[in-house]
Amino acid sequence: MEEQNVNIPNYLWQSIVVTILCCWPVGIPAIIFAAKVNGLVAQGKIQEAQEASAKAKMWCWICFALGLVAGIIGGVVQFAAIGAAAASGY
Amino acid sequence: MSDIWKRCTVVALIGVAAFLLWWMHPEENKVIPQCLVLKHTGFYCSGCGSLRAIHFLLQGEFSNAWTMNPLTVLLLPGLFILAGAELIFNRHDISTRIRPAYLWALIVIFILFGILRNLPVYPFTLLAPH
Repeated sequence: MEEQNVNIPNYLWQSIVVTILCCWPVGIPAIIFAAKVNGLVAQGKIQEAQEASAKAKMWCWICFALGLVAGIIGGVVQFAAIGAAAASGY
Repeated sequence: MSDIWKRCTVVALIGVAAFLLWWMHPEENKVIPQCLVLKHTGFYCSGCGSLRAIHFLLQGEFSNAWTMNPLTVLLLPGLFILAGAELIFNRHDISTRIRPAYLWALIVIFILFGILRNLPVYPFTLLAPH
């Protein structure tokens, strides 16, 4: 029941950043788990809060990885298009 | 000890990202790829225009940033405070003390914003990057 000094990360800012910059359908669950962490911490359920925190972290990483992969694919496609345009220019 | 290193690395990476975004215009620069969703569906997600908005903010052009993505511009100060509290002061509790209801509201706003900015009718077209 002790409420002071529970330093459980809810990954809120990370989840908002990856939701905005990477892939919002996967970022939303991360924010949902952040909300759960906050509710559980307020109720003093530290064990469950830590589990929700781990899940929030997992979703953040999935979202980040998807955004990174999409970025790399997009980059490769873009460079290929520039290359093709340059080649056809001759 | 390793935790301090981790936090320093994250701060450094954010700094590098901010510098690159200040330096390059995401739309004109060919190094930054366009979002695959926007490119292939033409659909604006809630986060669409964020890179351009952050670029304009770093350049001090507030009104340009606002027209790209008002939601990102509104969220950034909060993100800055939370990230600073965690990375510099190691205070996770500031973020954890936010009422869950506010976070649920944020999710609803996020989804609604993503839908509304795609409507091709006048007041909503202001929400799309332009």
